[in-house]
Amino acid sequence: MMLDNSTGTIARDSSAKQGRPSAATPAPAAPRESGQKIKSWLIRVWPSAVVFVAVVLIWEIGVGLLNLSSFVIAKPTEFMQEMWISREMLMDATWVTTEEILQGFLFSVVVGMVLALALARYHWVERALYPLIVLFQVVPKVALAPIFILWFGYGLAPKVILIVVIAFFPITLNMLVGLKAIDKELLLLMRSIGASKNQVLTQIQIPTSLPYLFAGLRIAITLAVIGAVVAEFSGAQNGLGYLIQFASTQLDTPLMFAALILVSLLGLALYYAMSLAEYLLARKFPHISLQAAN
Amino acid sequence: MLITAGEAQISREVRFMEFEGIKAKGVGKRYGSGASAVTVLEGLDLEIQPHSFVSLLGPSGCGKSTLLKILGGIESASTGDVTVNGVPVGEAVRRRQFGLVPQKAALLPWKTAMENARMLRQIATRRKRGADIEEAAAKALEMVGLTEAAHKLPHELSGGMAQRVSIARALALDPQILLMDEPFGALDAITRDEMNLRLADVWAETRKTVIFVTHSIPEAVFLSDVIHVMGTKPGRIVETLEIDLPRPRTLEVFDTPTFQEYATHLRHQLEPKVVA
Repeated sequence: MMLDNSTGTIARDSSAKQGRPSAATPAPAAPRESGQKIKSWLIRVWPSAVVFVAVVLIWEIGVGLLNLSSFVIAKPTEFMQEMWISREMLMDATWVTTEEILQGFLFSVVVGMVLALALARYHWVERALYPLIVLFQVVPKVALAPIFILWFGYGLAPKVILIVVIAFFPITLNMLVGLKAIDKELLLLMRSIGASKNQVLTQIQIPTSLPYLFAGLRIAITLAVIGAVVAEFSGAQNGLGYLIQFASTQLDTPLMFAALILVSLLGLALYYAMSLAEYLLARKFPHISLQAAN
Repeated sequence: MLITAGEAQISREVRFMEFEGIKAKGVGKRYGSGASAVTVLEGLDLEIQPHSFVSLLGPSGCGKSTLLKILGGIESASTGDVTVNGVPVGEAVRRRQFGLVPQKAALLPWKTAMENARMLRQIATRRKRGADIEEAAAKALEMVGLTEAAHKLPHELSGGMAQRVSIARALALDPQILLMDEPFGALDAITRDEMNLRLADVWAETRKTVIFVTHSIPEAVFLSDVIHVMGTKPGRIVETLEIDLPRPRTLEVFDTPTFQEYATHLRHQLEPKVVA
């Protein structure tokens, strides 16, 4: 993977969207001129930019030509307008949802990492828990939302819990794979000097697992957004998911689209924040960006 | 001049007394149990003199790598026992008497050559920093000729350079015994010659006891004082050969008749016995 700028992030982005975030992409290690970087970025981006603008235009003009009711579908200009008119309500809802996502994600990271470490460090924990964790993945966790609402009320708690339940797994799984991806020869080296299991874990396994962990975190952050929206659908007093549902019952399609776009932008922003964190950590552990997770 | 040599002789004798070498008695290794058990090594007796360069030479699958790991306390033997300086090998591991150079360099990709060279000593001593660690790593890197590359990351190093960092990492431990498990197996022939020369120099300088696993006859003859030739099914030692070639050895050694004699003899020893 590339070290910086948006080219690198876009390359990662596309691999994540194809559902194989842990696939390795060969990295051109040689640094390039920044002018060339911008040029190659433009070359890579313009086809999708053209398609995007075309779709928006067709949408705008098509809805006008077919004379569709704004109850059914809103024109891009309509929901842009709506975004401005209802900006205070939307900002408020965005903040509520952001808080849910961030808290949920934070707990997911803690739960996911602690589980992965325990599974890797203690064989009996793996024997006891791993099959159950995998089994738990069969449960359609989205369907748990109403139960959590029933148990924990309409506040922040059920949202955070649902997000953790949905998002911890890719973190645990990816980190566990990374913790076990340690070179056999390195293990021999550690044994030849009588190193303890804890030393192997902290000195070798955890740093080795970082690229894998980040692949998991990237999946988890998008799942956290889904979790927040679903939880709000099931019962909430505010938030973007709540607004989408509220707007749909009112047949306020422009508001629905406005909220939908904000959720998407929020997800995108969080995803890039993850990439930024990864980039910063790669200064200390260059293998994160050099070899990617594979 | 003479006096210095004599003093060196004395100080070496003192070290000889401290270190009586490695003794293996009746060492065997089995994997699995019952009918499916595989015997890798059987009834193996071995003595390794201190400060000597000893090679374990044999075909693939003869258990030479397993034997190395047993001698170094990395794996345990199913039968028999190994002592180092008269103490059990496990105790020798705790006293940090071994430095391993594995088949692959296995460097930590996020650490520079220098940090990699320090790494084993840091873990072994359970200290992050210390003057001795810095000094030992710097000296070891110098010995393998990598002082210039100290700040490079592993992906910037060639295969031969990475393997040299791996050797420096073991040397920085300042072990009594270096365990080398086919360290140059993955290198091209030219780099391999260069590495052998360098290793001969390093050995002459440090006089560590070296146990060197290889399946290359010329490599074994060039480097060793003693070669233990191993046979298969089960793994055992079929011959112990002392190599009486003058030191310091240079690449010209390869062309001497004595070298050729050793090589020919060993090739016959290792020839697969084809049953017609």
